[in-house]
Amino acid sequence: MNKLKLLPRWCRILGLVFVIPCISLFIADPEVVFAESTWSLFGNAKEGRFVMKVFALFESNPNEPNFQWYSWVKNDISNELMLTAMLLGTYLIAFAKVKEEDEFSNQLRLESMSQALVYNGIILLIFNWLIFDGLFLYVMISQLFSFLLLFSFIFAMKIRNQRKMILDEE
Amino acid sequence: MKNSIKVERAKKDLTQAKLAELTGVSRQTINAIELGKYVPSALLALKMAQIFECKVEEIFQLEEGE
Repeated sequence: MNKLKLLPRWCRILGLVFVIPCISLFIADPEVVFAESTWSLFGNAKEGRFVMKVFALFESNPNEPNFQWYSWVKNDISNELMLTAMLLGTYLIAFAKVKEEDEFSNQLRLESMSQALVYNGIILLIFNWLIFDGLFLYVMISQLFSFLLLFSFIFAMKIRNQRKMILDEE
Repeated sequence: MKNSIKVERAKKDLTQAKLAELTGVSRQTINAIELGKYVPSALLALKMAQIFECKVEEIFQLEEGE
């Protein structure tokens, strides 16, 4: 009956372990998303802790004459690490099983997904007219995770309401 | 869609929790179906009919305009 392949329940906890530090870091210093090697959080080190040579598919703009595929570049990978943790974390939270998984919880999951899609669009539309220029980059970055975070929140609320309804009846 | 699960449960002296256990779903699901908030799958409706020893249409009825 349950066609959607879901992750074990403990994945939700693991997801939170990934997501909470990332969100806390972002709130403390939004610049962390740009991986400036001088995170205000960790002092004004000229060289970041995570600067290393990494493989890049391409380094420069394809229109430039010195364009070349595949190269090794020096890069602060702290934001790549954060993005990985954030993506893994949000997926782990969003697709972990709930305590009592059945067709009704699947229905609630689908409803939550469609609602999250609508709310996410509305939020983006509002921010599009309220935040401009470079600052809009923060909105775009937050859009990478906002859908899954919204979905997880709406779904958790729906499950909680159903449990509460049963308890109220008792 | 209206249903008579509550009546059928009373006839068989079954609690929501027991019916949930027999059908393999959660109590929240049975409660949501009884309140008309969720329309069960054909499989779950057939399981219920089997437990209540009646036809599916005796438990679930279409409302006017449906």
